[in-house]
Amino acid sequence: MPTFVRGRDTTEQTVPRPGATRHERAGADWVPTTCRMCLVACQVLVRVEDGRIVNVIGDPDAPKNRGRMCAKGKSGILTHYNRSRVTRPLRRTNPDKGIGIDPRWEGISWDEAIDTISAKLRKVVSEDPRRLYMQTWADGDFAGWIGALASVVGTPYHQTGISGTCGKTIHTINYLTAGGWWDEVDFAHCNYLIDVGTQQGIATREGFNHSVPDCASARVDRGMKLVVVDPVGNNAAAKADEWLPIRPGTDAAFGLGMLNVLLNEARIYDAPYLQRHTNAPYLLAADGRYVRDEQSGKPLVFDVSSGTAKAHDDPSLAVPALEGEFPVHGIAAKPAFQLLKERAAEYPLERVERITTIPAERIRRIAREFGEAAQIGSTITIDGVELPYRPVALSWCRGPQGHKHAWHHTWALQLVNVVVGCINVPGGAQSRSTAIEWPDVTWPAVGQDGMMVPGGHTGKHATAFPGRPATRPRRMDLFELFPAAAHTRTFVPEVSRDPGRYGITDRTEMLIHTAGNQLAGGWGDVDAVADWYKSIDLVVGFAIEINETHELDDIVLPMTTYLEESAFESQDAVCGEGVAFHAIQQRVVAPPDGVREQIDVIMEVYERAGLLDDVYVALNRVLKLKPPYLLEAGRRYTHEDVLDRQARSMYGEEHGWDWFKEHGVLVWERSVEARYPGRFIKGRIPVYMENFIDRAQELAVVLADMRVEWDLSDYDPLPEWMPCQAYGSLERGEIDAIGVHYKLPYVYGGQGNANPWIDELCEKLPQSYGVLINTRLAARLGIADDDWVVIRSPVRTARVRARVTECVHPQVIGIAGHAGHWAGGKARTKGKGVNFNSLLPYDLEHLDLLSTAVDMCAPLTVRKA
Amino acid sequence: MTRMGFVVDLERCVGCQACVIACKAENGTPPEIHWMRVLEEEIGTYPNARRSFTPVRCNHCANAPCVEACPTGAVVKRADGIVYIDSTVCVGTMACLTACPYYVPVRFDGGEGYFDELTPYEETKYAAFREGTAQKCDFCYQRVDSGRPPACVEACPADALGFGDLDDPDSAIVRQLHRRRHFRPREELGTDPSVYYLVGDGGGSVGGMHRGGLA
Repeated sequence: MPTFVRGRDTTEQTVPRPGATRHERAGADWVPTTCRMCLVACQVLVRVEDGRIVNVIGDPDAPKNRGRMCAKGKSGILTHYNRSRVTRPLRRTNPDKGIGIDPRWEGISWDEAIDTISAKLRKVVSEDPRRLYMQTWADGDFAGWIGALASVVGTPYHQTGISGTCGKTIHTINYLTAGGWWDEVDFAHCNYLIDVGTQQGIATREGFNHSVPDCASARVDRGMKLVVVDPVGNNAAAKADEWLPIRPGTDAAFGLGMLNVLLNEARIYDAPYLQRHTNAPYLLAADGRYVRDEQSGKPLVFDVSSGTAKAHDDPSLAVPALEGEFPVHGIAAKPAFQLLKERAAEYPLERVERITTIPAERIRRIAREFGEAAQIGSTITIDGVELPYRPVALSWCRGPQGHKHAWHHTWALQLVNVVVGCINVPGGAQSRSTAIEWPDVTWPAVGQDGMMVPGGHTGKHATAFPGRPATRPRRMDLFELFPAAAHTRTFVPEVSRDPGRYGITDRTEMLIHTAGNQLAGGWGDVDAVADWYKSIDLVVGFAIEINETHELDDIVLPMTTYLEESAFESQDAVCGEGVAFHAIQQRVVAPPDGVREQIDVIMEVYERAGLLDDVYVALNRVLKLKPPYLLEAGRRYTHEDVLDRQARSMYGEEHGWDWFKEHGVLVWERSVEARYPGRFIKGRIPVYMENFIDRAQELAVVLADMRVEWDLSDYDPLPEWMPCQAYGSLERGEIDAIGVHYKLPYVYGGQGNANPWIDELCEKLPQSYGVLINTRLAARLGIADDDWVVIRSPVRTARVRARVTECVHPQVIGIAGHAGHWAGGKARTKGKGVNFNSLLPYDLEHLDLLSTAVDMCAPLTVRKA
Repeated sequence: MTRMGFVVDLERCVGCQACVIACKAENGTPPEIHWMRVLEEEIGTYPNARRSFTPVRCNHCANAPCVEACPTGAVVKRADGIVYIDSTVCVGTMACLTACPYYVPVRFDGGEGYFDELTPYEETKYAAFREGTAQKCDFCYQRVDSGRPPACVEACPADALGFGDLDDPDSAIVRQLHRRRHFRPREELGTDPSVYYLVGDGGGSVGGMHRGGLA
């Protein structure tokens, strides 16, 4: 049993917040729950007066946000009281379905809605369960209730993300190099942060309300240097010591340039770390594969001390070589690190400057500063434990992972962290949930070839190492053809254009989706995506308000707002913090008449479809229930009952659902090893993806058999910069600019623009609804600030306001927010801004054939309207 | 003596607008009315260009032109320096609006709220407003009186906002003012504002590397 932390000392807070513990709060009616206005899911206290919600504040007891709240969360009050809310089930009466076509909704009873849905579900399950497709996203427990169906009926189609870039490499690369889910920065100790295509610590990312104050303290109180590499002079660039404007789609070149300086010019890298904790010393033959011990098959390294090759885990291994060429088994073998250095050497900074437009000397200086600030070899003692001290981090996310070559951009950038040894140690790049100590214990383990295998929740997230041998695909998302990708939903509309081409016979007859704007936010060219939705016989969606996706639904079901809904969720932690915690979401006010909680609805659907008993059995696993709290076939449970079982299963009798409803969050201490697991992880992490060689060869055989030709150059074990189509068009002068999407802190997460408070902000602030055009580009095109302009991509034309600015790269159009709505439920934002995804060409040429990320470089021409 | 005031750390502020909406959520201000705003401006030339963020609200001046201008005494200056408008006394002359050099007070013209009809939340909040009267930031004095921070200060994710007793040498904000360079808005007008903006010393000083370009 860990040490629980009850309440928090308010002196820890910079600002005194109301009450240290639940009982000291001003006023009795503050209900602790979880905000759902973005994916961060901070803990909040909701004030209720006479059954009305009158205020929401951050929960000071909650480690995630420590009493702080953002604009999106605060505006949740009007999302809850949204007057365009769906309040009863709807059925479309217009058989004609498409973008901009009125569904002509008619209200139906719950009985009729559930009958229709359950009858269809029963039919599909009995005929061919693979015709069932489910889409969920960040839906608390509800995603589990929907997802349980997948194993019960036998369909592989449970899509858990929306955006065409979400998680495409951030999770795979974090699992690969850090054993965890996503990255955060150890701001308590960091001295030098480079944000590349992300606004970590300033405007975005998980743990936003936690990272922003810690980053501010690091910058302002400790003098942490912040460098922002981004095509847009965004909020992060505004607070940076240096903004390095970069041409979109060139991050791999930047990363390789940094590696060239660190490894070849300045020779700053953490050699002992690389020798012991990575595959850097593993010897490679001319074909790029490991040289293996003839008996054990283990990859060999060269021991400089003994002058012989030894297995990587040989206890007598003294000095593993990182550089050079060594005769082993009659061949000239090189350590993987040697090949990485040679690849980096192909990126002299003059070349990197030509590609990225960042001056060579700046890159050189930044790389040297970063390397020196890493203080390689130094240590720090925290709570009596001596740990490596590497107070630098390079954080990346949305920008580099939204690309045709997403894997390579982000792999090159992550290697900068790897070579200085700053992952999961004080001051550096942290990874969330690498090590969990209680109530379950999950630590990374040692797997094939001595490489790290992440623990924890990878059960549902396939890993890039070792990857899966390709086989002929049966799935509509071609999952079998992506050995290193965790999920491949981005391919579904592409395949549905011509399933026969890939030999796919699966087709979707029924789709259930939770609230989320899959159509407008999930892929690219929305017309292409709509075609897939139109081909589905019954599309069922849950909705707060009718968005662009719902307008392609056949049946829309009203749902509870997050202030009316309960969820047990799962445990959480903030990287580097001394505590882990579990926070819940609970009903604060009852929903209006006619609106039911999603889980209640789905239980009834399952029951009428004859599936509920089997779902209970699956839920025992999905919800991690334990005896004596298991759900039993034949019995019926309320949602509250299930929540109580979840709580007691996880945390024992003392922490049932009632306890959580009163306290909101359970907090317990973590060990230093779990906080900073970096050097305690036994398995090695890769600097060279040797497994890509075999995976690509297997894939090539399958593709040849299918008579499908794909360019598999992305399966290079080393990072490389490869241009995308937009880059070439720009070079040849065929387009005026590359359109990129960027984030604003008050709309980030997608819940924002149609909310009236947020919309009002967007109207008043200059950046939000206008598209950013650099002064020089605008002058060349004869465009003045606030002019109406027409932007044209290969798939869409849009009329928008120009925002002429110095704060954007001259070859870039910057487009923010989640605007350009056209749906009935989004009337407030109709015609404002542009839906960015709709500008993106959507085809094989614009999908990463390794990670399946959607290319987010929009090739644009711009004219005054 | 007590003198309540604010500090705004311009270095910490990230332009997230949380304070703006926190104020709105706390007070239920109607459309077009923001008691708290964060102004955005662009400075410099590419590539040495950046946006700047400046949170502004009522300055609760010690020498407040609005207090002096109000003919009915609706604009009240408390003993602790907080300036608020009593809407039960205000008859809507808008003298305060004209007198304020910071353009702070606004007039509430009634209206239906953010939708076609008032939501239950707006019904509760609008009960405090009278059509035709002036309104502005009131330092969340009801919260302060019960020992809680103003809504903006409490919400700020960057911990950029502070408040306290400017006359107490041991208060956190006075100690901050000793440590940091600061200025008050348009001091030359003689309003004696109670809001201090902290400016940077040039962060990013790791290894002796100082902030280049703009101050």
